[in-house]
Amino acid sequence: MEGLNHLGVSMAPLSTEAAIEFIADPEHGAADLFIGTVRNHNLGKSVKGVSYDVYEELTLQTFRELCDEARANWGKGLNIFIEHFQGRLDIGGISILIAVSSPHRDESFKACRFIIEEIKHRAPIWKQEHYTDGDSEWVQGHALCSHGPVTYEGCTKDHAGH
Amino acid sequence: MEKTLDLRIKLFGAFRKYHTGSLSLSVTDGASITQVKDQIGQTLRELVPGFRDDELIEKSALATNRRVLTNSDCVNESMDLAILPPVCGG
Repeated sequence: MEGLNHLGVSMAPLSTEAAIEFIADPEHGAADLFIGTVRNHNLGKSVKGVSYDVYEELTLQTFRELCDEARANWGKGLNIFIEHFQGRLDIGGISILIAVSSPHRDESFKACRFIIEEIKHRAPIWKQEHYTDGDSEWVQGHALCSHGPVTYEGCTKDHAGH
Repeated sequence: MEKTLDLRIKLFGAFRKYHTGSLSLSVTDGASITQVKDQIGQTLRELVPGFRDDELIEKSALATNRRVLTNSDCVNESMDLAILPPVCGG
């Protein structure tokens, strides 16, 4: 049986409890949770907050595609929760939650890692950092018009779904 | 006479420091992605005094609300598009 998806873009604080509750399944013995938070430094600059800009419709479409790709690689029964915040966050604020459950732990670990890496390279989401010196800057990112296969340590599959 | 299409371009990310909201522009039926991006640059130069961020436009992708367009795509109808700078979510 195919697993469940919860995919969202939220202007309200993200809830780890909601993510864990959603993916819980009596047939699954493993769950993996990734929590992305705002840190107080980047590239030598002191950060006091980050604003997230999101193209919501295309982001949700991207999330759906990633769920399909994750299931193609690690099992159709995965339960997947993905939420990204839209708006301004202070230090420590949660920008993204990804939760995956599966019968055994290997698939949860790998699918969760895959999803966050792909989101960073494919989802139409942008960050504007606000610094303690009063400046703000849009963060450099990954160009969608030249996007190729995403690679990272431990990556063993062609994650484009091929 | 060549048919003209009306495009509305949503702006995101770093484009917001130049213009808020969306751009309206007209292109020739069958215009390529490159031609649409050129037209976006022209429109921004007209709207924003001193706009010179051609590198931002070059690195950005065009997209519908369903997919990112490639260089092999072209525009055949009036529609809403978005111009997407390099991404960094998560």
